[in-house]
Amino acid sequence: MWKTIAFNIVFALNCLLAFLLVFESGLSVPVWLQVFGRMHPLLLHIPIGLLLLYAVIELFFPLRKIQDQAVDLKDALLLSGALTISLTALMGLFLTNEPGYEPETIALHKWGGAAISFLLMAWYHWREHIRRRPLLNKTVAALSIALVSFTGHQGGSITHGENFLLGPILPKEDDPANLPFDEAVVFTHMAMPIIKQKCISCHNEKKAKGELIMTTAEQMLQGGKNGKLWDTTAQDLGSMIKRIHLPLSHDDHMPPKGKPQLTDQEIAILEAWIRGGSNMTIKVSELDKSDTLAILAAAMFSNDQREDVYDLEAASAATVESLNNFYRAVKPLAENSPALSVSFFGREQFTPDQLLELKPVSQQVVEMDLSRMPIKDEDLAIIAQFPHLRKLNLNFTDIGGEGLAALKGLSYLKELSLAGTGAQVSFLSVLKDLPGLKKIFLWNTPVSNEEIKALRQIHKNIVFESGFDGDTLVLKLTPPIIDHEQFVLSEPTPLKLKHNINGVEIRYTLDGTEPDSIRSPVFHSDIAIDNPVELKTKAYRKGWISSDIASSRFYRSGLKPQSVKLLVQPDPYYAGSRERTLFDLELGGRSLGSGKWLGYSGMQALDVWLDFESPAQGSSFTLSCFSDNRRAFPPESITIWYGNDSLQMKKLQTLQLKTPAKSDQTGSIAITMDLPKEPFRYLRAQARPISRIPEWSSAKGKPGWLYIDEIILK
Amino acid sequence: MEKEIIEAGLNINRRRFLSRLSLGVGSVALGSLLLPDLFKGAGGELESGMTGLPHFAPKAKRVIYLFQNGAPSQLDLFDYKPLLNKMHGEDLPDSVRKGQRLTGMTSQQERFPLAGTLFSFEQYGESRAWISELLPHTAAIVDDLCIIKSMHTEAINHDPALTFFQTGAQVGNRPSMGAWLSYGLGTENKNLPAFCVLLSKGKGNGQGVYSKLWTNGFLDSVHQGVQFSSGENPVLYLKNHESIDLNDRRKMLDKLAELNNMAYQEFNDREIASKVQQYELAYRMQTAVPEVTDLSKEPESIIKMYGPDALVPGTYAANCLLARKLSENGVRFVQLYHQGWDSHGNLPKETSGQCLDVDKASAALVTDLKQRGLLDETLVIWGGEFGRTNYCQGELTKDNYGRDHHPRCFTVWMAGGGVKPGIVYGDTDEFGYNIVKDPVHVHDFHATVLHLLGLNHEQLTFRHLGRRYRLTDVEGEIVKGILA
Repeated sequence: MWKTIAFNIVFALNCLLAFLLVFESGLSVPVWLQVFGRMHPLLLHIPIGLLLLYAVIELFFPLRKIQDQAVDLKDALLLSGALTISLTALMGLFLTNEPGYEPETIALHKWGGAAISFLLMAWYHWREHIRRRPLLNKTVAALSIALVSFTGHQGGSITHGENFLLGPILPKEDDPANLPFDEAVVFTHMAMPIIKQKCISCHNEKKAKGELIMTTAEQMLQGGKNGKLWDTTAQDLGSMIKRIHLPLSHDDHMPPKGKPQLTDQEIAILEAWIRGGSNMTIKVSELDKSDTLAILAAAMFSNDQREDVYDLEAASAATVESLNNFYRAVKPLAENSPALSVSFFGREQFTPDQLLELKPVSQQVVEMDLSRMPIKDEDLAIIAQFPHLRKLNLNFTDIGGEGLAALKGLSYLKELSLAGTGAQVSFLSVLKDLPGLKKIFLWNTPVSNEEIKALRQIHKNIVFESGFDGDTLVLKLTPPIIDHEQFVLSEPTPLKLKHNINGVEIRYTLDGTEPDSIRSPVFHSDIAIDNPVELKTKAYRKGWISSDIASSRFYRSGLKPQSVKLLVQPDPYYAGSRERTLFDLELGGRSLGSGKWLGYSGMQALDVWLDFESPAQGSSFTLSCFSDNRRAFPPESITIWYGNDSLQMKKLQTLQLKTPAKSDQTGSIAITMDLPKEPFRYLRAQARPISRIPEWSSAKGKPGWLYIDEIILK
Repeated sequence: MEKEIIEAGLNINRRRFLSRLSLGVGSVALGSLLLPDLFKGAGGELESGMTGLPHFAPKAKRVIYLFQNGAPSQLDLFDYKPLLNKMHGEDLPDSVRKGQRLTGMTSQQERFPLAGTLFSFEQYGESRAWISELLPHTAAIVDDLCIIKSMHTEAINHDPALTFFQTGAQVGNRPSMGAWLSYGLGTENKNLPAFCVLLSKGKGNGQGVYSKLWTNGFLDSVHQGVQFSSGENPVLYLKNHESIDLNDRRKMLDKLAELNNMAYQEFNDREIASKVQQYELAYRMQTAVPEVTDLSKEPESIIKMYGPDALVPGTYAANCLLARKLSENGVRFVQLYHQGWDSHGNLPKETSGQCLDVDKASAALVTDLKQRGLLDETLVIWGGEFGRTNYCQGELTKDNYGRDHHPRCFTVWMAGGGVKPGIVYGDTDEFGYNIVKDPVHVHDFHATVLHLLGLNHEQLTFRHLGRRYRLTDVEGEIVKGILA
């Protein structure tokens, strides 16, 4: 009877186990169950003993007589094994839910344990069937012994560490992680283990490839048939490092293709050691803290956790929430972390009260970003009341440095950013009172590079970041910006030029000549342009190379027709606003697709009819067009007719333009013709695009395009 | 008789079965007590269990993603393959290509002549990383970079590849990376959007970018990327009309919010609540954006470092500078796109031009963050949507070639934000065609970026159409080798 009850319990426990394994990610173990979970190491020895005993009986005492007599005992053994193992497995699962267990390291143990639990239940259930088949019986027994040994070993490794069992008989290795940081020697404990592992198999006394032996330091210093192994002064640090860096396919690459390669970290160690002078005796503790080797060593030897652990009492969620507003963010570093980070935004909205209001969480704040806020030196005394600060960002605040002394109580402070402040070197004496400080940012402060050098000498544990200082860099300025929208002027207009870089001198010419830095006038805001001009302008500044030229044409509009008619319609893709485009006082700009250009090509020619309604008189006709010397060119010819009677127009002249040359100007081009001396009511102008693009162009032979944005009559 | 015996046995079994079943169900019920969230449906905007905080202490708080749209040629910039120069003009061996699909642009080509790079390479920094002469400024900061040479993707054309990188799926409609971060971590500065987008264009062959790349997908629309443009008004329609002042706007928004709240009470549509939030954000942006976009107070060394183009709105350099300013002001995710890398032909000239646009400013951004102490908490990513082929597309001459799309390997670099500085991760074969060491898939890339930001990519989920979605779909392994 007890067997039925016990087996039912086993079944229920295994169901529970399976269920919890499936939904493990959502598992949350209450405190009282944790106690149960922690009994796992206590209980687990019982099922191991029971199961091993049972399996050994099944394996080695096959005599039917004994077997039959002992069947009750055996069943009891197996069942109690199944019962205790299922309990043990459940406890283990609860235990893994506690912090401190890496999911990867316990995965094998966890699944092994669960497998044994399920196996035992099944074995008990089908025990009679299995016993009838001796081979199966023994297989199951052997399998369970193997599983138990494996799982037990995994568990042992979790508790006692890797290789606990065989540790005493395995060859001793100087595991750097176990070595006290102070005693580690760079060559012996960092460089040599790499060489032993990756090089010695081919470079030893018995097998000295390339006549190189690397078993001891002396032999390495001798080098091989290709000379010395390293040269601490060479750019590539000598043949060893050079060969390591060759592509894998290269014949001289080491270690050769097919052999275990060096990891990036190993390469970095060897390189840094050689660069540092290949010293055979220097200890890790003697290195400068900012030295590459020291950093690599710290990663290898340090047993302490590099992550910050915050042993703080958490503030209530409601308090934290109440301190958030639009200009101040107060947030835990992560879920369930008591540590808070605070950031301020909006310079205009900042008042020192916003700092004082943080008093309820002064113990919890570990990061504070006050950059760009109008913080004054006296406000630093408030900041000093946040004793657990790790990171403080004061970039581009208004501090001058006198207040920094107030920070001396901040023993945890690791990073201090002072970039863009007025902090002077004399105020940095506070650094000696900041024992935890690792990094300080001094870019764009009055502290000079020499002073930083001196500080580095005094504070070897602190990394000083001086940043980029462009004093010696000479760059070319960008051209001035011609800040006009209208280039066809109907009245005198002030010239508007600007440049984005402060303190730039803008010089200009209006006659088409190149501006220079001596004779050309300097731009100022009350220059007006009236007549048509060709503006060319350049930017100058001390310490910079002068800019390229920016140029633009200004036109003066005079005569305006009462009506305009296009006798030939432009290409539908470049139709602009049709007639209106030609007299809208706006130029088309650099983009032909701007909708301010009319485009014609092939047999299509611009043919425009202007009606002034009463006889008018003008002096010149200007066509503004575009050339890119690829597809768009000035017209081949322009013909003008005039008259007072629309049926009897007189031809004024046809202007044949010369074939465009490769060196011709590109961009906006103006072609001007004289108007008749006598008055006229009508004017007709026809401009033909070039029929064949010249030979020198990549589009040679194709019909060219004519783009017009404006007609100006004077 | 035999039948009866069997039946009797079955009877017992049935009884047993039922009693066992009750035991099983009972134990499962007991177990469910330990799973507090098992039967909790999706309530509110955040999935159950999500708090809007990192799952664990993050290395990076913000991301600046310098997307090189069109796919830069890794073979001319980072992945030095002398063999290609040696075999210049010879055919790509079939044993290397192994029948991999090609794009329609080169699949009809009769030959696949290998094209060596025209540019010289040298090794730099502690990691001895090979960098092309086209990227002198990047070479100078190589000790801050983690160069991943073994990125690979599944898509072979721009739009799916780009969409894959941005949203974790090749078809549109999924939320963009920035939107996921905005959803998972919330906004840092309540006066600016958590996700901003900046566009620029080089002179090379360009490929389009579309607003679907910064979509919120099925997430709440407050998570959508906000595009900053280059004109006088960086954010369109943000300025008040001349006839409205800030007070009028405030009153108008208050009334509007009342009306919207009434509608929300009636229909309970979350999008109405989002709308109200967006109006409020826009109102606060009216003062925050001019402060952020004002470049007049930048020190001269900054202008020199990014280059004077940084003051010409709409250039890549200007966008890098703006990206730093936005990031510094608490914008979680700043997404840049620089178009023009799609060099199917004329690659040497086009790629040189593109590098002139981006090299100086990208390096400046990293240095600038570093000198402010922000690089540790800001992850900078530089890279395209796939790589380019080792064989030539079109005519191969001594000084000109083109390269087609190549998804099997390409190079991306990261800096800051908890990635190992000064390393080269992964490697490709001597032809620069296949990966031979440490491949990094796009899903792995996403999983790693989320990890750096303190998010478990398997737990950052959103329930939509009856299932939970993730940025990494059902895949993604964290690339441990690049974590600092």
